[in-house]
Amino acid sequence: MFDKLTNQNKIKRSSFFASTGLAATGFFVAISLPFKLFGKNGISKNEKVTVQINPDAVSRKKIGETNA
Amino acid sequence: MPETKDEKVNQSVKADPNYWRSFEELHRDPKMIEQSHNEFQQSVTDEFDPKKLSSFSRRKFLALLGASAALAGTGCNDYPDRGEIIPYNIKPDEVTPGIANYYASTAACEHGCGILVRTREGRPIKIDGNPDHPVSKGKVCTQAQASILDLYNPERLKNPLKLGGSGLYVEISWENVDKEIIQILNSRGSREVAVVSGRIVSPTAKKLFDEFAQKYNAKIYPYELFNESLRNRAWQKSYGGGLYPQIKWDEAKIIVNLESDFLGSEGNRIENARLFAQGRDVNNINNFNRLYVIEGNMSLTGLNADYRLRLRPDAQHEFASALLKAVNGSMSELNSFSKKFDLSEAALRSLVKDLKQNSGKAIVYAGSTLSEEVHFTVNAINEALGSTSLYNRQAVELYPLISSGDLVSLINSMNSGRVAAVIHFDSNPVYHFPKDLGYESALKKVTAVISMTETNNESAALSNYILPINHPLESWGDNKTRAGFISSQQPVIAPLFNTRQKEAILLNWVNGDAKKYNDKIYHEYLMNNWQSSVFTPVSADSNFKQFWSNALHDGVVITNESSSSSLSFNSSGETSPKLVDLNSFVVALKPAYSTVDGRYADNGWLQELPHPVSKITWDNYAAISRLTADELGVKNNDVIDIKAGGESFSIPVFIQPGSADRTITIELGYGREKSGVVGSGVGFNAIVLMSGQSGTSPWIFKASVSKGTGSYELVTAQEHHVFDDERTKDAAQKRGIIREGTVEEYKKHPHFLHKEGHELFSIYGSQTNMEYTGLKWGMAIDLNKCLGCGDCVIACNSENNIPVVGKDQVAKGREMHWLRIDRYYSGSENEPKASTQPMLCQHCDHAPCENVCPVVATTHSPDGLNQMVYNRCVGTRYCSNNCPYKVRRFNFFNFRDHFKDGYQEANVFNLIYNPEVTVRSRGVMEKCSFCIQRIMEAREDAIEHNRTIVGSDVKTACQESCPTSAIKFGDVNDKESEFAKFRNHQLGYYVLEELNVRPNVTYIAKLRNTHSEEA
Repeated sequence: MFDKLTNQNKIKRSSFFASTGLAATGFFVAISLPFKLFGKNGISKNEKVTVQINPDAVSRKKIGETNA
Repeated sequence: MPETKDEKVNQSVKADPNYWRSFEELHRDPKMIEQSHNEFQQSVTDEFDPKKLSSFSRRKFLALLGASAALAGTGCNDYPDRGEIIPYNIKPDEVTPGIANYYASTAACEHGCGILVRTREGRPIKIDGNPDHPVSKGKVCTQAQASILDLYNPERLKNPLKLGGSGLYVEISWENVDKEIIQILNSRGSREVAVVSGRIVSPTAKKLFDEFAQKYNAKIYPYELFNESLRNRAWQKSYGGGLYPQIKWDEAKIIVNLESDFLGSEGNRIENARLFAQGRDVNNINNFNRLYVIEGNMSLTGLNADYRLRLRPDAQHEFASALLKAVNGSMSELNSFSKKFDLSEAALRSLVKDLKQNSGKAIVYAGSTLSEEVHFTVNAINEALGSTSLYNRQAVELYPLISSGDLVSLINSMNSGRVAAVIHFDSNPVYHFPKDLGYESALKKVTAVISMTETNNESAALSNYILPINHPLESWGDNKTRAGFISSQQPVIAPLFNTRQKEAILLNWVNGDAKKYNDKIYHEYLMNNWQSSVFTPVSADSNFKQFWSNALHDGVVITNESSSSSLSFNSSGETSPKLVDLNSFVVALKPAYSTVDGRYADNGWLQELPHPVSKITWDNYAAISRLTADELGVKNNDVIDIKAGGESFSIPVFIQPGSADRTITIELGYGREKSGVVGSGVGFNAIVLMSGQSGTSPWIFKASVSKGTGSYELVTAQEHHVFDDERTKDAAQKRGIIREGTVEEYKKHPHFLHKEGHELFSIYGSQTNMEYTGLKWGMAIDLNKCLGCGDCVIACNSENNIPVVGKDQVAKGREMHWLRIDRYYSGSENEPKASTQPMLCQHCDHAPCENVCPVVATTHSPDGLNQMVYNRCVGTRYCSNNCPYKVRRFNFFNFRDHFKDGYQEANVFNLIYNPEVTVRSRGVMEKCSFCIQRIMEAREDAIEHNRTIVGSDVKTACQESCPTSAIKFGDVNDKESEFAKFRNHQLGYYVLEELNVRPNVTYIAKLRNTHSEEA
């Protein structure tokens, strides 16, 4: 809208807040969207993997250490 | 200020007449006066219409620009949140954060070497050899080391799959799939169930197979693409039974090798290399062995030969027959043979003389791809030489491999509907079996095809059920390949996905109730078997629980079995050789050095490991001689067409120095189509040329060869210079990069290497050397023992988090290996001598890279290390430019993201990284650090135990993995240490010493054990 007092084109307040809000929404959607999920090889990068030790396995603390 | 135009005009009438710019102004021309009131010339803005201007203001443009930039920035996030790091609530007893644990286990292959798996916070990060294992003795091959990458392969199957009606696979629960399969097995009627597996080396698995076979009328079909069947058949014909023995390479003084790559890809090459290298000790020069190699294409064993003769593989029977006659006293046939095949008569005379003079300590060894007749003749030669004392008859075969007749019988049964189910027990027969047998089409006639596999493969793609199995590092088991000991296998990590151990799946089917499965069933089965068959014979007074725990801890149990010793040779099996048509082409198929038979095709480390001879990565090729290339009208990378047995096949060529004429050598294990992102489409599948029909050898056969269409880029990590170019011929020798001598020369003149002393020019002027009074790290590499196998390269990759870069980047010379094996030829193109030399950062005292870094990202430590500070590096690459050894590697990309669209960025892949080593990103230079993380670990241990660190406390990854112990590492200033013997050896030299950069890697010059007349 044209402001006669200052001789300038000014955005309407409602339009300003509408477009700012839309930009902010777009920003947060973009950072949460996993873009690379749809990569060519289809490998999911964010798949959770849990590491657990098998309790029945027997470990040793040193490389050369036998019970013989 | 005038308000109207008239008033302006009136005012101008009154302007000062002393100042004017034109006559019109002086004379007050009305037109001029009117024009002077306008800012612009007339009609300049006549067409100006504000309404036509863009409504897109400058402010709006800048606002949108900023918003777009912000949005783009959010999409460029390379560092995703990896989650929270929280301490243990209940810490597992075995885990101390920051301290490694080790688990003894067994490698998954048919040789069953003992391995030691290093884990950090519960995840395996490195595989080395188990020093307590009697066969591997602390060393293990490239495949075993690289197999840890397969554990964290993002493309591992995660859930059971069933082929749906629409032709797509759908996930199914384990309980349902067990139920369905048990139902299928129970309703087989009189039909057979076929289990196709690899070689069976586990006694407990064999027991399970027997039980399964009994319950479900099953037949077991173990196979290997490359096997010892021809050699064993000849042995049985020669001696009436048993298996071909291991050879005591350490006791052999003369080794004559016929088309056998025993140091590179045949048999237990780790043990072979270790024993062979014991006869290449420069500190025991009087017991140096001598290696003759007669082969069709340059192999790793051929690279290390003292005498090498090129001979097409189909002529080996003729040669062996002539050699037998020569050993028995008549040289005439051998002389005619040498003329026919243009072999050096002098070399053959030396060969026969050496064999006769070293009776009992000389061995003739034929490759497993040669025909049964060749092996029989070779057995006769060894018998005549008294070489049977070099046999070590400990080999044990739990289950014989199938013959081609067994395979044909199976396929016939499948075609005629007599097979209810086929189970692929971690095998890939659709890829491996010769196409002319029709196994793939026979599968369609089987009711149920079940594949147990870790990743998708060609056989799984044709299956009704695909069952994901545990990786060997997640599995229980045992291994028996020799008499006298049995190895144990234990899981070092719980299954990462919803997978099961393949033996446990089979056991569940034997038990017959899908609901009764639990994770421990195979563990208990294994323990029960050991309690009944292993524990009882060897136990003294310990209880089984203690015995079992000790067995898992040590990884091996020594038993009291003895091997048989008496042999009685039956010479009636000798046959006359068929004469070879010299004008025909012969194809020789070999196992790949890295991917073996294709099972490791999806392993990026192995695909990127340069071929030990040609240095080609990421592909296979047809190796031919220069003469053959000229005959066919091809050059490197041109495609040739090969026709054999009704099949046609195209492959690019590589002109290999030392290759026999009209011999086409191709490595199998490539050209897989369903191997995952890394392995699919890499190389060419030459298995199509194999025939399942009986012949003298399935791996050596005649073919017709012609020039094909087009070319294909083969990427090699090291070119070799043209032989006949005087500027580059023998350049490595002329520049002193490779220094060699002969054993005779060394015996006569121990200081022959340094007889020409000269003062080195120094670019540092009168700068005095820095005094290293304390511990100073250095390395020595014995080129007599270094075979060029590349085990050290894989070990370094595993230890130091080195990324895979892919074929396109290797083509630009951007492979990231910190350690490379340079291979140099000298002599003629047909009969070259080859030398290998591991090259890594020399940690120079006067490092030329340190002075030129503008940001001081590369420095020198007080203990002699050339250090790299990754977070200072800005990537000018000046250091690499200045490095005379070209050992610095630059991260042109973040290769974890760049290679295969982020394959190395999968969450599960991140588990492989060694937490002690920084993972470098884009724009950063890196290089060998002498395993500084291991040095720090040793230093901390020394501090903790209140002692001084010594050189022998640290073993670098490359040193630890070298099967021949060619690499030594230690304190340069410790004159009493074992390392000092090599640091100050008479044969020690430095590469490019004349530059006076003072490298700290000493190379022990290679000695060829040739006869004195050639010294």
